[in-house]
Amino acid sequence: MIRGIYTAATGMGIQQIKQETITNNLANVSTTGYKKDATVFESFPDALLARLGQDLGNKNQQVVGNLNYGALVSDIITNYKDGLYEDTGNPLNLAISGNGFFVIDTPEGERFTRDGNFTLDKDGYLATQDGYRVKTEQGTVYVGTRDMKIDNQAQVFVSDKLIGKLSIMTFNNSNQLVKVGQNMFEATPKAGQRRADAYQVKQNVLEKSNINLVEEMIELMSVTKAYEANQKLIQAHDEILAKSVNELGSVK
Amino acid sequence: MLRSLWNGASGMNAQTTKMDTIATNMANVNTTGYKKNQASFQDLVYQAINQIGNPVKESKELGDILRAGNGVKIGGNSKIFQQGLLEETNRPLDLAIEGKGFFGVKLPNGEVAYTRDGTFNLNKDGYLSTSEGTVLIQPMNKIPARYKELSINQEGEVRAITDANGTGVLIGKVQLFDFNNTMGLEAQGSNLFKATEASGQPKVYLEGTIRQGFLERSNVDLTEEMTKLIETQRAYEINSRSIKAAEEMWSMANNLKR
Repeated sequence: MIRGIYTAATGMGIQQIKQETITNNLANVSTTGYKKDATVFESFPDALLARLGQDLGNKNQQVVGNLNYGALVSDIITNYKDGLYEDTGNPLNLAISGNGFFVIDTPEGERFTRDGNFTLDKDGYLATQDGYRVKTEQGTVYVGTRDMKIDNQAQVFVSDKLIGKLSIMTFNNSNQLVKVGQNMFEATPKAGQRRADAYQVKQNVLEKSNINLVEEMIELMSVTKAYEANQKLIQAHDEILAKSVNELGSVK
Repeated sequence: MLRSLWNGASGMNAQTTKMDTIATNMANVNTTGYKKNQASFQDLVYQAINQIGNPVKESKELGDILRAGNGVKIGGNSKIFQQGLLEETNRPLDLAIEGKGFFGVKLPNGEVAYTRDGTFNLNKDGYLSTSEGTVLIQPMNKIPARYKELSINQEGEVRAITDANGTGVLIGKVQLFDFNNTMGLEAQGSNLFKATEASGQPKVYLEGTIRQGFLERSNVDLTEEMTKLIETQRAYEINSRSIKAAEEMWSMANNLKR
């Protein structure tokens, strides 16, 4: 019975973590360039069950089968599908379609983002809303004006003169990218960073989040029901234990 | 459960702020020279969830540590300086800027502010001033009282048409200013902007076009704002569902032991 309670408790625990992922997705439904997360479960490794009551010293215990001790969260996978695109009429709003990330220069190092809601910092360089400069293949780019044009290969033109090309990177193992907040990703050593080639940059456009609201709501409902089912299991185990403690063992 | 509750709450808060932005835009749909606001969102920091007790797969690799998010916040509220439509008023002291640039005005306390609102009058001292009556365009010379008509050309040169000769006498020039980062300007109310560290210092802008007899309408597009309003309202609602689901699950956990 105790084993059953712990198994059901892992069931409740994983549903709680899944709910946290879903509510984070829902909170970020309007965040530019947000990529939704999905929780993946895995069961604990099976353990062998052996029959009780063997003679002590007998090496050949009879195995009756496998038992599983519950489930755990094995991965939280980020889905990098493109979101919808929204026209804003702001020439400093950029969006990437396809595989690729903008590269941002922060005090903590290089970060990657799909959030193209850029502005100019006080010195006229292309930067994010937090003031971090956007990297180009040559370093950072001084634009100095809102009248810049960017073609779909990320080349930056001011007054029809090519002044640079934005650095667009992609990754061989995008599941090794880590979200760090402020709409940015950090690359861990096994991510396999390389220059992107299968992308298009759009100007005057922002990428919306790629959350599918109906999908998330259905997941939320199923999480609640699975949680409830596990709760009932714990209560059932509790009753069985109560019987064995109170009725079987009672001294009358 | 706490994290789910606060994720939902952060979503609702952020959508409320966005709603305020939309409401401000819609209220200013007829304000001369108004530039619409655009709220943008950012996700919050992510925390590792492999603490002892949580049923999570252990991993040592930096890229494999599982993280949970903490919701959303408003990342920025920028002004969009798209050109508004020009409306002909035929009033000689109404000026509109076509393209980039701002008029410079001097406030009574000596500070300098910038505006796109070109509704000007002659104040009692004979200077060009805004509708408040107390702020003056800088730099401008005083306009002598005997001049009846003013003609302002596209470069901002102010000529006074006297009764005597048809051609004008050049009195001065309406100067336009521009900034490295117009989105860094701080809105002061009364259609005025102040320069900040984020916007950079004002530079004299010589390529501007001024149109006499026109006013620039607000650049708010009501269709766009209505669409955003609907989106915001529904996003608010769905975040309230997050909170409700978290509450239901928490009450199940509370009712484990009857």
